[in-house]
Amino acid sequence: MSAEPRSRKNSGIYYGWYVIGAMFFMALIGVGPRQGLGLFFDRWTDEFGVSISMLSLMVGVGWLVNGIAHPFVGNLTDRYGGRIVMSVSMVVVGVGSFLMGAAANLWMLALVYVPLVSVGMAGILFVPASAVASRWFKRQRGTAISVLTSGASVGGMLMVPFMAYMLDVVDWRVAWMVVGGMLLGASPLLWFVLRNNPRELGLWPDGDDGPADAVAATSVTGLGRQGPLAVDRWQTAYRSSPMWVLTLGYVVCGITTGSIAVHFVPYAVSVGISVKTAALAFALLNLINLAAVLTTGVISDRMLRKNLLTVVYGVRGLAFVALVVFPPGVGLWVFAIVGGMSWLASVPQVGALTAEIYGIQRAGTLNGMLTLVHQVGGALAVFGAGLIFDLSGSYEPFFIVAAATLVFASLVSWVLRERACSVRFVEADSQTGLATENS
Amino acid sequence: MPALAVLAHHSEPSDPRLLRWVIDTLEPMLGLGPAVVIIPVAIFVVAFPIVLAGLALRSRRRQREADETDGDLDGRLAR
Repeated sequence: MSAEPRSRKNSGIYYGWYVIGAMFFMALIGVGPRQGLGLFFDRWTDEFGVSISMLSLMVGVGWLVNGIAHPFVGNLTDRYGGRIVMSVSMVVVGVGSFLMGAAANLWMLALVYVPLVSVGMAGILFVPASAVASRWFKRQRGTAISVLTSGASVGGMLMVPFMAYMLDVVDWRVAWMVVGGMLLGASPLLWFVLRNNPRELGLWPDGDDGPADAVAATSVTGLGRQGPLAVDRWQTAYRSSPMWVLTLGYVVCGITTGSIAVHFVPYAVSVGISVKTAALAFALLNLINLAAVLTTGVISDRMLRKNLLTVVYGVRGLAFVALVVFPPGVGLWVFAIVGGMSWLASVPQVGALTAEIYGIQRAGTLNGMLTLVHQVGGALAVFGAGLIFDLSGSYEPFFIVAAATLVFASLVSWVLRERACSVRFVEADSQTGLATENS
Repeated sequence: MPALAVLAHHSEPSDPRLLRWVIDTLEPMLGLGPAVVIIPVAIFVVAFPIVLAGLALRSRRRQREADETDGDLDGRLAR
């Protein structure tokens, strides 16, 4: 399948954008079975005679298993390529969704949801996709990752209402089987489009003419130079400070997004805001987020990514501050607008920085480790925010803590020495091992 | 349709009450019925990968043709 990359520009759209299109679609269709799960709670409580807390436990275990699966999925991506990992995961989620429709009780539901849907989702979303995008794009890496990331937001807008309306016209079992059928039907086509890296089609990253120089042509991966901190083993990355900077930032990211995902409506209700208003604020937040994730992705290819990450965490911190300093009715909307600017914008920056600092060889595993800590942070924050509310009768102490952690994440991101360790600015000569500054 | 958005970050399951309320509220406001949502989304979900695969196939064919043309040219120049 491999061919020597050609040293001339091909006409038409660069094939990498078709690969991004396939991964955008995977994220879009994949979020349905996961985000739309809550729609079915009423049906399941009626039919299976189980409590909401039992269903919540199943979702919680699924969340945890999904987080744990990410490093393994990333490792498989690094070893065998994203094409096989993502395609198999798509089939697994498709089969899982189909079988959800055949579940006879809660245990069967959990046995399908946790090992199939939750694990399979890890193989569809950002970890393998970021690793594949990093191989196809160098200069436009931030843009490419932000486009595929936005697939999840668009999927939330399309697939969740789709499943909700399906519930109005057909039995819940049929709704799951239809979604499973869609996933399975799309799998072979996406397998056909996906390629692990441009070399498989005889192309260069970004659709370039060819290697800029002899060093790039002879680099280890054949896809260009590696950064001075490029690693062969993922564990090695934890011996350098940038990995810890990214990890600390992503834990805070998980804490602040996970808690809001679960406690936003209870918070609104606790301060006398109706569920309706909270829902509209949610919708506004997500709409702004979609625009913001695409914009920041494009901007990040033209500036230091760590500066953008600093701004993203800082802006989100301001959003939490707004919840405390403004009256609840005003604070909610300020939070939606300001928070929406930063919600998913961290994902493309962290994905791109990981590949640019540590190289693309272990990008999947490292992104998987980062996502794991993100999910664990989120799970702990969900529990912590609830505990603080139970003890104090208010979410304000938690919001203050969240704002403080975001200031910390912002400062930590700012001190990241991107110019000294990113392949965008410093490249290691793969022949001599010497670092050279990019002009 | 954008107003039907749900909070998404690493695909956490959404609040079911919230989803149901958003849909129940917007349905009378925007005149959205099941068919208005289900049919277009289903067409989109089925058509997107088919169109994408078709475009990708065309792109690869063009590349192959360009390679063959280049190969012929190189052969003639060598002679």
